[in-house]
Amino acid sequence: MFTKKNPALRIDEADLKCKNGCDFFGNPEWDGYCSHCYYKERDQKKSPSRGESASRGSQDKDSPLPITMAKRFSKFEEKKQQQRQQQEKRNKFSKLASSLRKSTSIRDSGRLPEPWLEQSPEVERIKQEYASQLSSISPEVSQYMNKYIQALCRTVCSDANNMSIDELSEKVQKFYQNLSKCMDAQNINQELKEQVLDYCEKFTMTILYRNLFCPATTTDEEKDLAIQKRIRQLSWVNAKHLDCRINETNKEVRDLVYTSFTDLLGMDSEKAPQDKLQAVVKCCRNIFLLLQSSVGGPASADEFLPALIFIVLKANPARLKSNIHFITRFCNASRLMTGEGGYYFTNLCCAVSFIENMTAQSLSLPEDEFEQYMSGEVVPTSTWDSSVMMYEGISLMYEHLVALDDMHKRADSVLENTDVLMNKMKDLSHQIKIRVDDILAKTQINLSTEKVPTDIDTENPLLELLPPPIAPMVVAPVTQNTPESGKLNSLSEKKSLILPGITKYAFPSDSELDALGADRTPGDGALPLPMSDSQEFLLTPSSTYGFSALDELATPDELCAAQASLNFVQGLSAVNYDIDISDTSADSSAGVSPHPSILSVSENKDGSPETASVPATDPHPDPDPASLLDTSESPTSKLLLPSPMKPVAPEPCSGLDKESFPEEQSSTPVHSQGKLISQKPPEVPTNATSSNYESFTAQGWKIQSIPCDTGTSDLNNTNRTKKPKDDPGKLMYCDLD
Amino acid sequence: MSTADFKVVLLGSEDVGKTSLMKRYVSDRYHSRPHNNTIGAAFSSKKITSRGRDIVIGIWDTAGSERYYAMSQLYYRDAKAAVVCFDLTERVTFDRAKQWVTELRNQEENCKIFLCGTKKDVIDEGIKPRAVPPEKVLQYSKGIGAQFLETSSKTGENIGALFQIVADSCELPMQKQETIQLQTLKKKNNCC
Repeated sequence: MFTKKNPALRIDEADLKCKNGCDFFGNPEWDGYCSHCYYKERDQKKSPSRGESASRGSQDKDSPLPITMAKRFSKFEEKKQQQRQQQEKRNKFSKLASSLRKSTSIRDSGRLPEPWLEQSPEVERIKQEYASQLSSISPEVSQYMNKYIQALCRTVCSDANNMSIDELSEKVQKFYQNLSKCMDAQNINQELKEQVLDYCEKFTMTILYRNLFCPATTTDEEKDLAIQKRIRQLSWVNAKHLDCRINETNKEVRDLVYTSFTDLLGMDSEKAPQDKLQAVVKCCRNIFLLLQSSVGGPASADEFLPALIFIVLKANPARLKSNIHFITRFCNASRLMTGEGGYYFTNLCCAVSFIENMTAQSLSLPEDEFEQYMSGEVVPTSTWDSSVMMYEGISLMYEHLVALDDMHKRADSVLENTDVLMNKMKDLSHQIKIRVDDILAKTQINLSTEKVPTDIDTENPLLELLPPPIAPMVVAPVTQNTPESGKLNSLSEKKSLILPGITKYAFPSDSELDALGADRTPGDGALPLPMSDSQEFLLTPSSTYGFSALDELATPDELCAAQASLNFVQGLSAVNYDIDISDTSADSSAGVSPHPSILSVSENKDGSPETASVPATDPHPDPDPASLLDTSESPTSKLLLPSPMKPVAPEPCSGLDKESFPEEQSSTPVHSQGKLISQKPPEVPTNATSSNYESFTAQGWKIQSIPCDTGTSDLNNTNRTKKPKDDPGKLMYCDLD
Repeated sequence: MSTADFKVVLLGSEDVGKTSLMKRYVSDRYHSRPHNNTIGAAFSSKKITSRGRDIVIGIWDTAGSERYYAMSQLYYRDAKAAVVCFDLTERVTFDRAKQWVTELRNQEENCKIFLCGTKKDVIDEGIKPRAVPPEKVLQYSKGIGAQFLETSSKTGENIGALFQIVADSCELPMQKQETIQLQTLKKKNNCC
């Protein structure tokens, strides 16, 4: 151990002369007096009559006269109170000491008195904490140790009031030295020795804490209050005044500032001096950390000291002076003087000393400004509080900036992605275009886009040119040679006869086309449908498809086409206007058979060969209206053409067709037809009623033949089949077939 | 908490390079990057072998600013050695160093004083002329019984030597104590 110096010499400023100016050395513990003058001063204070004069002599020496009596009196009162407090304390201590003295006999037996230990659970805790280390030392050493501890406790407790704090400090330091020597003699390894010393220090100091910390014999308490007041006065000092490089805007730094506050404040709650010292060390390390992030490297003493001063000023720890004195007096001097803890503690002492002696010069402020701040007349704009508020605002701002940055990035990425997406979409549409073009080139479909929507109601003059569909009534329905597709063929034939163009597109399958073609080429003779049938067919699609199918159409083009086809159909029917359908109706009526349309269908099947032979006299196939064909060419025609099944469903429509002229049918069918066609579109949706059913049945059977063929709508068929049974007209038709 | 066997305090005006000196010695770096384990460069302890014994010296850096001058005695209290630094290129710093020496002589009689002229590299490289003639410094150092060394923290010149001398000279009292102990043992032998 290198520090075997007399501890009394450690008192700083020990060589300062006495305040009174005598040649003796003064001491800060004695308010800067030498011991002689100090006691004289104290004695003077003790007697109230002289105390006033003494206080005036010592305290108000420098203060400018005149002082009001009230002020002086209040000061005097203060002093009195302090003295009273000290007296009380002293009494308490003496009581405690006497109680301890009583138990000396017990302690002499070699053990510490139990009540003593019970009083402080911390002592027990310390014992437990160091139990493992203590068990590893030899019994000899532990015996020595206990002896020393007891001796120390005894002397301190008994003489606490009689000895000055420096004498006590000296005793404690000697105790440490003796222990250390003892362990050196026992050749205990350095580490264990340190631990044992630690234990002894903690143990004794925790026990004696109440006797040694801020004892009544000292003026520590007043000094605490003084420094606290001073710090409060200096609350306006900020980091800039101290040239302190604390980056206040950084959240991390701010947190560290608060952590060091807590560390420094925690010093007071510790009991053992080394724990207090440890608190200081923790605080200082945090300061170094925060300086590191503020300065950007390991901070040097030039940066550290101002920061520490700043922290002390802002934390304003309780009983600061008492704690500092306690550490100086009772902490193991060897630890305090050399190690890291000692360094930080020294810095703390410096900081406190700086705060106590702070002047305008030390803050590099003009004298008057400093005075103004000190008196509270002016508050600097950037005090701690305002800066705290600034912190909040700035930190919020920073957080927001960060958030904004993030959002900016995200927005950018969104924009980028949209660009990418747009490009992709362009590519895709381009590809699709290419592919569509390819497909179009391959399939060579000419889409007639220039179709003009036509008004359904207006009559196309071209349609007038259409040849009258007279032939059907004469000829029996044509059937294909192919028996399997008999039904379909018959249907298609029917259609092909009436609307060659439409059918053509409606049944794109080659075989059927061929069949159609075959039908047509010989077509002149292959028109089997009775006129009524064809009429019906015309009517139904126009009415039902016209609307139902229109609904289904997606594109305007298709719509146009559908309308056009409708138009066409209308046109056809319009042409029919002039045709004498009475014949057909007559024929059909003549060929009334008792069977419903089903029968007719079956007959159709069976009698297909017959129909094939029927001479084609139909004028229909001659497709004079090329325009019509064109219109029917549109894809919509495809939609319309599956029609054979559909017409079934909208019975009312078909019924309606006839509804308007049920009686006239026989007499003037042509006329009725014409009427019907013109009225069809508007009437369709509304006029379907069961009451008119009869009229429907009159010609409805023709429709049924279609669904039957396709075999899709049985229900409808059955419904119909029942009704038409009564109708003689159908039977007639069947016969005809 | 690191402990040290004795403390060496660095004194000197602002910007003479006390911190650099310490950094150079402790971490052997000039522009020291933040170390993982070094949070501050105000206190460092380093093991050094002196006369065959390992000792740990604790080096205390001090704030050189004029405003903290009043507190400097708190720093050098109980110091075994004080390295008073001055800038070889700044005459003022040498005058300040003299003040410190005087103060130390008055306050801490047991403290060994070492004079250290820093920034030797600046002179060697011809960036700045020498402001303090070495003869004068040597004369002065002899007068106060202090050793004088010219160092450069940048090149590391004389840094190790400086602290070695410090450690060696501070080790002496300890050796005396050891001899005393031996003598007591001899006495015991005589008694027996």
